[in-house]
This record gives sequence, C-alpha cells and structure tokens, in this order.
Amino acid sequence: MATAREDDILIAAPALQVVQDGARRAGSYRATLARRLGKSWQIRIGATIVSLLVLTAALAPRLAVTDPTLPDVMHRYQGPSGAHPFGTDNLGRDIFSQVVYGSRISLTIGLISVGVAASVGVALGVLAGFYRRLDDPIMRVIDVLLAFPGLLLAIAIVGALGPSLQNAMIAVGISTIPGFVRIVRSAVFRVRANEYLDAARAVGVRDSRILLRYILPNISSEIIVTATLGIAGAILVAAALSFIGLGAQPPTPEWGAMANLAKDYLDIAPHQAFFPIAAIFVTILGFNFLGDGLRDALDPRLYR
Amino acid sequence: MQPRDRLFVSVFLALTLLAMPALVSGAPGGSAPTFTYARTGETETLDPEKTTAVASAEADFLIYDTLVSLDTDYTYKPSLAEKWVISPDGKTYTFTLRSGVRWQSGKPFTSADVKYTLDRWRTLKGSPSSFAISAIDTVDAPNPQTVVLHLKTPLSVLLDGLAGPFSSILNPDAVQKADADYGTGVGKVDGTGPFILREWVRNDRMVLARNPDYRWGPPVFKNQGPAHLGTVILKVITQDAPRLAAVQVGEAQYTPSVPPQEVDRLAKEGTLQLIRYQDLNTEFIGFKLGHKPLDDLKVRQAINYGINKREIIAGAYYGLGEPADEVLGRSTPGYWSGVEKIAYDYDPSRAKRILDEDGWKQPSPGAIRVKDGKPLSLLFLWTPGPEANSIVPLVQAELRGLGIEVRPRSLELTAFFAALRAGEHDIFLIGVQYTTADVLYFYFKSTQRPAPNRFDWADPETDKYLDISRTSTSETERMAAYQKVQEIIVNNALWVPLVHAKRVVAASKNLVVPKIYNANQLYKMLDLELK
Amino acid sequence: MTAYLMGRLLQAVPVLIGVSVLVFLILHLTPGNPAIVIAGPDAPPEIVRDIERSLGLDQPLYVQYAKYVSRLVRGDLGRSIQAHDAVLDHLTATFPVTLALASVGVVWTVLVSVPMGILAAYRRNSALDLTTIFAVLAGNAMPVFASGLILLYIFAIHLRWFPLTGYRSLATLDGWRHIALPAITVGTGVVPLLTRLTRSSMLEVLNQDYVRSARAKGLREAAVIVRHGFRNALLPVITVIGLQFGLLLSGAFITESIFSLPGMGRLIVTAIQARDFPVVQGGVLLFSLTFVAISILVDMAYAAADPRIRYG
Repeated sequence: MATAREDDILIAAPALQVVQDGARRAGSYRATLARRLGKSWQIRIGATIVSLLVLTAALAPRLAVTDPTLPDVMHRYQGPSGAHPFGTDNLGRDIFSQVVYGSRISLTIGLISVGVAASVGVALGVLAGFYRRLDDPIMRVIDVLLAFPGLLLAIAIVGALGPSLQNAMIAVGISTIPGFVRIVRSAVFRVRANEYLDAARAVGVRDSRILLRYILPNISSEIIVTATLGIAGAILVAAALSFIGLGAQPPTPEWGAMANLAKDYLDIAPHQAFFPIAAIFVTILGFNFLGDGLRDALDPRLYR
Repeated sequence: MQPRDRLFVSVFLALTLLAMPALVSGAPGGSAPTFTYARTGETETLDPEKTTAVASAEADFLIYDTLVSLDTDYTYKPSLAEKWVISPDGKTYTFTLRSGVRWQSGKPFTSADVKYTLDRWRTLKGSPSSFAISAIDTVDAPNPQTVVLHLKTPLSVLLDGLAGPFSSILNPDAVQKADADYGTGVGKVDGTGPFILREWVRNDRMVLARNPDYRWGPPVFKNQGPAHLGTVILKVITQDAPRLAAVQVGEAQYTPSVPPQEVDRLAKEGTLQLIRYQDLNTEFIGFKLGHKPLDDLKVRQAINYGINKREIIAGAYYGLGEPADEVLGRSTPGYWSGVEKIAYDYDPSRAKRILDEDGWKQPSPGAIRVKDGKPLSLLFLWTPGPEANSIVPLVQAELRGLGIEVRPRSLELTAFFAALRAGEHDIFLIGVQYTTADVLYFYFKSTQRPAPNRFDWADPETDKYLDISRTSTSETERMAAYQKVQEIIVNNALWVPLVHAKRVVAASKNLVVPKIYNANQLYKMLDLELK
Repeated sequence: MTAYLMGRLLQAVPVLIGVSVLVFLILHLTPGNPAIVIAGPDAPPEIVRDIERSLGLDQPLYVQYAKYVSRLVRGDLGRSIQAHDAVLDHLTATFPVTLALASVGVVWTVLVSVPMGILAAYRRNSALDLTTIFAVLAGNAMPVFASGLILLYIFAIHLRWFPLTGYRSLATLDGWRHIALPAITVGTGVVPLLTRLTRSSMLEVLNQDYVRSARAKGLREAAVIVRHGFRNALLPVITVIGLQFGLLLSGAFITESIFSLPGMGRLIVTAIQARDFPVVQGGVLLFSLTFVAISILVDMAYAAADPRIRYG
C-alpha cells in the first residue's frame, strides 16, 4: 500500500516543480530548459573554455612539447617560438608544457576541493534546513567559520597542515563549506514550504526518501551553480596560496606557484609570468561564464 | 529621522575609520645626511641574547659594541676590549677594557657591565646562542677596567663568539628596568654603539640617529667616531624586485643582496655601484646516513659524482660562485688543499657504473634503479629561496638521469628545521655561513646530533680530532686536526658540497663604501659617507 | 535599536569563543614546535625541552587552552615568541595599516563601481554597458596577486609615479601616495561584484512603477535617477560592501606582502610561518572581531537607509 502512495506523490512532484517554474506544462519543461541552456552565449563560451581545459588536461602528455620539469640552462629566458610556443623559463624549461600540465593540477584542485566542500556543505545544509533542531547548532559552527575571511581560514589550515598542494585543496575545500551550507539551507527552506512534503510525511514516507527524492532534485540547480562558481573560486584561492608559498611547491607546475617563481624574473622574462597568469584568467573566466549562464538558465529568479 | 541624515552618519563613520591611522606618528626628520638601507627582513628583537636571526645583526652592530671586533681577514681586533691575554693553558682570558666609553644613556661603561652581560647570557632561559659560551665557568671583574673569563676547557673559537652580534655588551640598568620588554622598542634599549634607536615601526622601518659622543670605534674602521651619517633608516622590503628598485629610484642607497639574475643587467645599466665580495659560505646537500640506502657509501659517492656543480652555478647563481669540494673555502684558515685530489669531480658515467656494480639495476632504460626489490628513491627536504628554487629542479633532473628518483618536499624555514630535527629527510639542501673552520665541529661532532649534525655521523676518530681542534693550544696541532677531519668527511661522502657563492651588494653612486666586512657587510657604518 | 544592537553583540560572543577554540586547535595541532623557534634550529634537545616546559607546551591541550582564555579575559594576549614583546603592541601597530588599506579600498571600490553600475544600467545595452560588463568579467577572473604585481611594476617601478613600498600616515599627502596602489589592488577583486550588483539592482528599480510615475510626472532624468533609483538601489549595495569588507581584508594578506606594508595580513602570515602562536591567535581573533563588528555595522547602516526596517 505504502509503495503505491509513494508513487502517486512521485508523479505529483514534477508537476509541482513546474508550477514553481511559471505554470508551464510538465512535458515542455525539459525542452524549455534545453532551449535556454543552448541560447545562452555565456554557457556557450563557458562550456567551450571548460571543455578545452578538460581536453588539455586529458591530453597533457601528448600536447606537451617537452618534459615540463626538464631544465636546459643554456636556453633560458627564450621568448615564444615554434619550438617553445610560450618560451622558456629561468631554467630553460618549456613554459607551454608547464602550463599544459598545470591544467591538470588546477582542475584537480577545483574538483576535489569543491567536491569536499559540496559533499560536506550540502549534507550540513540539508540537515540544517530540514531538521529544525539541527539548524541552530550547525549554523553556529558555520558562523564561526564565516567569521574568518576566506583566505585567512585557508592560510591558517595550511599553516597547520604544512604547505602542500594536497593541504591547499583541503584548506580551500573547508573554507568553501560555509557558502554551500548557506545556499543549500535556504533552498531547502524554500522547498520545504511546499505542501507536497507535508503530504508525503503524512502518508509515512521516510525522511531519507523525502530528502533524496524530493528535496535534493529540487535544489540541484542551486548546487550545480554554486559548485561551478566554486570551482573558479577554489582555483583562484589555491593559486593565491601557491603565490605566497603556502600551496603547491615548486617545481610543481601549478599556475600560482609558477607566477610566484616568475615574479623574480619580471624584468628579464615577462612572458614567464604572463602565461600562467593568463591561464588562470581564462580558466576562471570559463567557469564564471558557465556558472552565471547556468544560474540564469536554471532559475531566472536567482539572477542578481 | 530622515534616511538621508543616517546615511551621512555612516559616511562620517567611514571618514573616521580613514582618519584613525593618522594617530600614528609621521615620518622622521633630520638635517645631517640620512642613509636608507633596504633590508630583506625585520629584526626580531634588539635583545641580542634572544635571537640568532641574521637580520637582527644589522641593527645590533649599530646600537651595541662587542668586546672584540672581526676584521675582513678574519682576525680579531680590539673594540670595547683594548687588549687581551690568553693564559698558556688556554683556560683564562684577561681583557683590559677601554676607558672613556659611555652608554647612550650617559652612564660610564665598566667591567661590571661585561660581567652582567655574560652571566645573563649564560643563564638566560631560551637564549638560542647561550650554548656557544657554555665553556665559560666564571666571569670576574677585579677592577672597572678588567674582565677575566675562566673556562672549564680551552675553547679555541671563544674570540669568534665574542665578536658576534649576540655578544653585544648590555647596560644592566636598562635591562633590569625594561625587564622582559628589553629590546622591544624605543626607550627599552641602551648600547655603547655609534647609533641610537629613535623610531621602530615593525616590518617597515627602524630609524637610528648618530651617537654624537661615540669615539671608541674599533680599529677596523678609519673613522673611530662619531659616524659621518646623521641618520640611518633600516627599511624592510621583503620582495626582491621592489627592494632593488628602491635603490634605483633613490628611495634607498644600499641593499645587502642583489639577486644574481639582475647583476648583468645592473652592470650594463651602470646606474648603481655593484660591489662583489666572497664571504665564507657553502651550499650543500646532506645525506642522512641512518636512512637506507644512504648507509651505503657507494650510493653517496655515486650521487657525488652525478651532480654537475657547474651547471648549478650557471643555472642558479648565474656564474656567481665557485664549485665547492667541501665545506671550507680555500681562504678559510684550516683549509686542506689535499681535498682537491680526493674530491668527487662530475662524472655521470662513473656514477652509473658505481651504481651498477653496487647492484642497483635499471629494469628498463630511464627507469628508477632497483636493488633487492627496493627503488632508489630519496625524500629531499628544502626551503624555498631564489637559488634553492633553481637548484632543486636541476638536481632532480640530474639524478633522474642516473636512475635515482628524488622526491622534493619544500617546507618554510621553521617547519624545515623541525622536520630535519625529527629526521624525516633522506637528503636536504642547506647553506651555511661561517667565520672559522669550527663549522666542522658544528656539523660533524657526534654530540651535535640530531641537529646540526643531521647526517647521523658518529665516528670516534672524527670526534677525537674535533676535540683537539677546540681544546689544543697549539695552532699547528689544531690545523692538522682540521685537515684530518676534512679527509674523513670527503672519503665518507657525507654530503655533496655544491657551491661557494659570491655575494653582490648594490649601492647608489653617491654612497662611499670603503669596505664590505664579509658577512657583517657594513658592520658599524663608521666609514660610510653620502656625497 | 539599542536592544537590537545588544542582541547582535551577545550573538557575537559564542562566535568569537568558537573562533578562539578553532584557532587554538589549528595551531596546536600544527607540526613545528615554537620551542625550536626560540632555541634556534641547532640547539641541543635538552634546551628545547626546557623551553617547552617554560612555555607550558608540555601540558595537555585543554590546560593550555584554559590558561590562554583566563589570560585573554584579563586582557592579556600573551607575548610574541619571536619578538618577545606583548602581542597587543603588534596588533595596535599593524591594525591601523590594514584598516586604512581596507577602508581606502572600500572607498575606491564604491567610487568606481557605483557610478559605473548606475550608468551601465541607465544606458542599458549601450557601448558603455558592454564595456562595463566586459570589465566586470575580466576583473573577476584576475587574481589579486597578478593585479598587484602589474600595478607595482607599471606605476611604481617603471613610471615611478608612486612610492615602491611602505606605509605613512594618511594625514599626509605622502600617506595617500603610499596607500594608493595597494588600495586599488585590494579593490580590484571587489569592483566587479559591486558594479554588477549596482547595475542589476538599478535595473530592477528603474522598472518599478514609482520610477515610471516619477518620469511621467515630468521630473528631470537626473532627479529620477538620483532621488528614486539610486537611493533604493543602494540597499543591496550596502550589504555587499559589508560582506566584501571581509574579502578586502583577505586581499590584505597578499597585497601587504607585495607592497611590503606593515599590516596585520603580513604579521599573521609571518607569524604562521614562524610558529609564533600567540601572535597568530591574537591576530586572527582581532581579524574575526573586526569582521563581526563590520557585519553589525552594516546591518545598522542598512536599517538606517531603509525606512521600512524597524527594530523593536
């Protein structure tokens, strides 16, 4: 019996979602979404940049001109050329190959730290939003984390764990958690206000099922948008950490660490700093475009 | 209330916030020539007995005096002590102090001040340098002009210690008055030196004014005082590029370190004086013998043969340095020329051969060598710095060519030393600056484990010679002992000495710099003039 | 309003306690013993142990924390391990620098972003609007260290328009020349956000009925924009300025080291590297305190600007 009733509600849920979305017919919802996604120039540019980045990371060993860590002191400080598209650095290492391998590191940083932040943040946010008695204790902890300006928290954590790429990811991840918790919590509040949840509860649907089948799908757009923008933020913070020597350590070709090294040679070889910084710039631009575009397309009311 | 008024309140608030820093005092004035020194780091404390930071020495030498002074040829000259007599057994030092010396606060300087300083130093909890004079048994001040040091055992390097910045003589009254705050700011410092602390904004600048009564400068200067300069500003600029630029645009007149990659460009531009000098320094890679496979002499020797010091000097030092055969440079008293014959010259094929013969086989060309199922892989601890940033990838690439994997892990200074003390390293990169061959004792005496003897080297023969080097009163015997130790160290390949770096300082053209006092650089600045 | 303020202040207490616990834990789980910092890297082990004992580092963590809090309550932040003087002295010396940096940064941000956002919204889809959008996107993707380096190189090292480094009192013109580049640097990260927000909230307001009716009444465009549009668009902007003050404070960490400013960001970073626990604890606590105080101030400014909000 219970199963049948649950299914009834399952059928009802997407309809409610559509009501939220401006009273369109259920069948056309996906089509509308697809049209909006495709129409957005932001998404198109963002997706292009991000897929190029993913491709670069995947094909790094094929794209790289040479081994990025191989020094060649005789050929240092060379400007861009056919043999070295981005020139060579202070030890004669090929900058293009370093930037290419750096994409792997930056993507890993972005994905892992946001992955950590999203899994912890979404869990806490959902719990806080769904169970009133958990809301207060969880938000108190989040308030404490929010009382640190983001980079300070990351710096303190890296200081404790020791400077390394891995620890920078953990630090960036932890300092991104509060943002997720806040957004997910308020999204859950919004969803919880819907009557179908009360109905579901009344007929005895388990909490876990309500969370997984009704709440999570309904807040997924917020999560996706926050995560996409979060990747950009994480890459930026990790680069900043590396720049002050608290993140990836040389000779790791992380872009922030490369810029940190290059700052000693700005007069002699400005291209050594230019290319890693440009790589960060384009990457952030890509994820920001994608995130903004998704936000506009998935939920126009969220547009700020 | 109208919203508009309230908005003005918040604007007012913002303005108040802006004005707050105005409460901090403004820039210093001064009519006599003002000399700005662009330094790399900040003094930790002006209590010389509580720090060994290099940056602290710069200010200590200006504010304080020491009993003896160190000349550019590493001989000891008078300073606060006019002369001294060492007893034949080497255990009693009798110093005769200069007369007419006054503290900046006005009180005359006497032997009681020296006794107080040394006694405080020896017993000060948490002094990083007090063990350097642990050989002192008692200090006597039989009359105001005489100080007698009684040692437990002879210590050949005692005078060297007494010339260092941490041996600056303190005024007991000032120390007792300021108590724990001594050395932390204006009014909490007193010295007999040529400059007086006037203002100190941490991490920005320290302003010192000429001591007009100073007449007792050490004979290593032409001018015994007062200084020609009216005001000295020690300005902290941690980043290399702006620090150098500060001298170029005239915001400062001197910087103690020019990054090697900039030397050529500056020499071509010709707008600054570049002064090159060679102090006693060695950059080296040390082995931890307690970690396999570094207990194997063959592996250590192979690494020694496999590292191209000339490439490192070209790559990291831009040619400003000499390959090092061992820790002592040629000009150090106690250097043994026989080292050249037994030193390891760059020979990668020999390195490969040694490893092959030792059973370290490469499973395939270019792969990491393996012996008894264990890969030849080494954890390499280092701390970032302009030269180290280049040395590490060069060494890594070089050793990979031999089939040795190097896993670099960089740590900032404090964590680096902590990790070395804990013995986490297989190999480590470090540089040492020294004034005597006693650096051998420092690194290789078995009692110096776990730090600074980070090699795990405990050898009775080495210990025997090192004891002789410190306690013998015969100079010939001491030098022979140093030579013996050098032979043992090279034969056992305890480290890879890399380079003796040449230093370059930059000064504006209107600054007269008669001498660079090795690692002490401008020292007491008594001869400096601004034209 | 007073009651509301008191309430907010009370709420801040547990947050600050939490911060102190968190910082304490982070630092004391940190490898790298401050006793080694004091003793020097080459000191014999027994001296290191001696110092550990005298610092109380050999005691259990909770005892150390209790001692720390009891001193804190008496206003004693402890002494710096490296410099041997009171932590409070370090904080009072560096706080004004960072506050000046962040405040000038905020003023610069507002001066640039608000007019830019308003004009962009008013001339929607014009060349100006598109330029603004482009600048916002670019600014958003630029790491603070990169803008700092670029500004330093172009304006201080090559053009020599500004001093290279250091800090002077803002009471003098020299002080403003010193703070200009660092303040612009910390602002670059925030300008895009604020411009974009001003633009979108302005767009929203301009479409409201009362603005249309004001126009219909024949009010001059400038008056419409300033009196109706701007004032209403300001509310979300105030909130963001407050929130971004924290971002500006974060920017201080990087900016202060690029421009060698003697501020709190650099103090904390060097103290972390040197394991100078008391300084890090004091610094982070003051940072958080400022952060919390600013968010309270922002709420009050918000209330002052919006007549609809009343606190009972």
